[in-house]
Amino acid sequence: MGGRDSGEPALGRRGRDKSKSTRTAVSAWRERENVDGAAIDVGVIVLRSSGCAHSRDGGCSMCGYNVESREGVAGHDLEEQFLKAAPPLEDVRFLKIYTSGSFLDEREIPSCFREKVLKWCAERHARLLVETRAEFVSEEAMTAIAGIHDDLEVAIGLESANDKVLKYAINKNMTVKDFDRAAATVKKAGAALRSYVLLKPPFLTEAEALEDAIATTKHAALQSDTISINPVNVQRGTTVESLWRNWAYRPPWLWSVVEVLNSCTSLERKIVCEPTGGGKARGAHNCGQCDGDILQSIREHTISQNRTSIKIPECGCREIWESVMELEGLVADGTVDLQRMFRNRGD
Amino acid sequence: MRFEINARDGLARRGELELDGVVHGTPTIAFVDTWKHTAPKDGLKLRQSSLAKEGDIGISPSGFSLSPHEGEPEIEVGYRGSPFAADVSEGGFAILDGVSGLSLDSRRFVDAIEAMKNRRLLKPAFCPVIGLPSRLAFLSYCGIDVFDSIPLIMAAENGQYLNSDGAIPVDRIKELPCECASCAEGIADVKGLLKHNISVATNELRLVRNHIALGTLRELVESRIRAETWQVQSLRVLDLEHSHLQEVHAPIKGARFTASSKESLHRPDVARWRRRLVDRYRRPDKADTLVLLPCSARKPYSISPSHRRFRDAIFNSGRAHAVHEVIVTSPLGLVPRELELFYPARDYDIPVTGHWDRDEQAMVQELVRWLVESQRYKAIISHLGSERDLVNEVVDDCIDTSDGDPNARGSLSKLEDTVREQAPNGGGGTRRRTRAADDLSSIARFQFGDAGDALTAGASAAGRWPAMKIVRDGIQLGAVSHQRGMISMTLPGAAIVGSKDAYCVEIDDFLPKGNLFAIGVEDATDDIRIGDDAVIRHAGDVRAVGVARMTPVEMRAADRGEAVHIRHRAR
Repeated sequence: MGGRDSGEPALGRRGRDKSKSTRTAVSAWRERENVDGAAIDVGVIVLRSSGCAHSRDGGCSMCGYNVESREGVAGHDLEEQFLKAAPPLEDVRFLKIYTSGSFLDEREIPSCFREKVLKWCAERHARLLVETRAEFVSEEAMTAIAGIHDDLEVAIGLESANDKVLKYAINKNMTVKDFDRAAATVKKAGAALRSYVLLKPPFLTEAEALEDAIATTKHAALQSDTISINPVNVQRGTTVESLWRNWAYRPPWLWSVVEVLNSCTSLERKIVCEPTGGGKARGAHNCGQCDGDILQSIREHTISQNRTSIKIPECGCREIWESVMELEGLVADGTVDLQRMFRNRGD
Repeated sequence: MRFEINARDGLARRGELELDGVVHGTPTIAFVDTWKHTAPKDGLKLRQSSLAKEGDIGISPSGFSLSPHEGEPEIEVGYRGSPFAADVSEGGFAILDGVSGLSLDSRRFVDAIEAMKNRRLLKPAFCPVIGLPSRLAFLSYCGIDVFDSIPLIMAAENGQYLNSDGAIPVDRIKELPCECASCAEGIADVKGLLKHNISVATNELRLVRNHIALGTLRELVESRIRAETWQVQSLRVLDLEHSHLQEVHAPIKGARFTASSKESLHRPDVARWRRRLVDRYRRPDKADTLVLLPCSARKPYSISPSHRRFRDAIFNSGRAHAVHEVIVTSPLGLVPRELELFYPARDYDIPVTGHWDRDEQAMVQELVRWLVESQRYKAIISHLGSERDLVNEVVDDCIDTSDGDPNARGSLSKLEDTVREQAPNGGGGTRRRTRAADDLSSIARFQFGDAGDALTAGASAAGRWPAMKIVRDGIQLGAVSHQRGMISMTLPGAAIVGSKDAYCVEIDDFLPKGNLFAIGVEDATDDIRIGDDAVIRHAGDVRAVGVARMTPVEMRAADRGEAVHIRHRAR
């Protein structure tokens, strides 16, 4: 037996369960979010399901969440995961259930378990947020869930409002029209809609990505109550990761994240942004000097929901970002991480 | 857009890229022109197609761009290699793609070069992003024609003062090692640094273009690659794993060179020499007493004082006609005396210390072993210096005459005596004549392979060394050109080589008036190298003979450029 085996449960950072047991949730935690003008505690449970339907035919280029999934997770497994993870979060007025897939996909989340979660929240008068791919949003499904619990928020990944980006950069297997239809269905059922906007899919330059995210945010605002700006982070086993390893992909600069958020000041929608892995090599980052300050500003911006522009700190790396914004489009083939290729090795 | 190659040095080429009537000498840099960083006034520019002016290289917006697609771009970006999209049509350039990954992995880089050259040899080769000044020589050596200025700008933005041998962080520079306009003023900001970086890169490319014209780029490359391991690795992998690609582009007669690095041992012309010995070489028929000799700094060896002494000793033995002198040397391994004019036997220089490194030792031993096993000598005499032990070690029953000092009086008389004892008797002018014919056969075989045998079969030698002529039935078939060190064919000689379908360029039914241009070539045999004597014929009828100016692949595919420089024409 190795010296490190001290009998502790196999939990990684943030209490992530790495054992991949079908009877334990991936993780659960509390976070703060602004709900109706006030910052409150929100419970989050990531369930280990059988996985996203789309991951079986290739999946999205940036998504590595399928590593959390396991074949053959049944309804009773999910129930056990949920009943273990939920009690510590019981007092929250808002619960988010993530499955790394689609809550409305009955092959992934059996309807008997779905109903139990909905009832659990209804009994406690807690708002419930669930995620789903657009193709599982039907009037039938929406009527079924809204009939059990009336305080619902459905989150759908729009990612980009450009069909070419969806198809050739993300491999989303969804069109903007598909999203619009699903969004309308969610709204019609009386649920709130949260849309995910992706910042910097692979194969786009920083400038294209920024332009695309701003346009996508505008499109999402047409029907959404909340828009979540998601800067890409480099997840394991993804197309993005292999590009990143070849220095052919760089997660977005925090300057770009700020630009997107500042473009939303006139939108009367809730805008949230929590860059996963922010400030690290695999997440949205700048030079390493200014990252902490900017991330703090972004966090405050999300919590306060103030519609003022995020103040831009002074840092020399903004010049580099500006040059990258200009130059990447003139690269004759493919994408490259220009900063990684040319920075001083001493940095 | 027009691209014409004017001079070749291996895969490297010096050419002209013409866009809208504006001509740029290649290899060259296409300067990106942006709001922050304006391009230098003169010189090729790379702009978004919607902003491109006449004479620029226009680059299309990608398929993901929200701005409309305007203008007719020279470079089509498409979906940037997304695996979810079909490939876009290839434009006017051969573009090296995935350069960031290639700059991390030498083997993949070299594979990409091979793929590019096999598929799109005639297109101007464009290498985005990675063309730092210290890499321009090596990348040009790999056959890149156009670079962009992105590395110069990004290096400046990151405070890197670039040089032809690497980079120095600008804030740690003690004194500016340059007198460009920007350095003369003292570099004040990123703009000033960029100006210096551009100046260094353009100067380096001037140097590269000169070396290509002189045929000496390889030496510059062997020195420049020291800047980073990636370059050293890439050249080594290119030499060891892609020797064929390089060999088919290496001229048969190149410029003088100094073989002063570990990589020199694997130069394509040097590697070809060793390969050809094994593949084609056969010793002169009667010369069955082998004398192994050390090389000399002076070339051809036979004019050096030491070799004069060796030859005197051998001559005085009275058995010179039966002796096969073979010089042991690095990096060529072995040079049979009769091939000493053949490139690169008299065109290399190597630092001599008397210490042989293990790679050299192994290479020489392998070839000596091959020589004695394949050429079947009656006696083997070793008259060597510092290489004596490593050679004697692999030859079973050799007679050592040098005692480690081949120039000593005692050693020389021992050589003379030993030859007299070992070599078969006989003498006189007839034998010397036959021996000269045998030597010519050996050269012909080395140069033309089996067809060389046909060229010299039944022929005799006329004239004095080195201007020896091949004569049969009173007709001259060819002669050794002192300048080229190889055989130049006459039309009758060409007919013989042509009859073996070797070194042939097939043309349509016409008589070439001037030189033969690629547009007139129907086919060409794969054995032809640049600088080789080639037979020009139509349906078996020899029309001319001359010197190849491009590779057979280019002859077949190209529409422009001189394919064969003609020496004799049929009338």
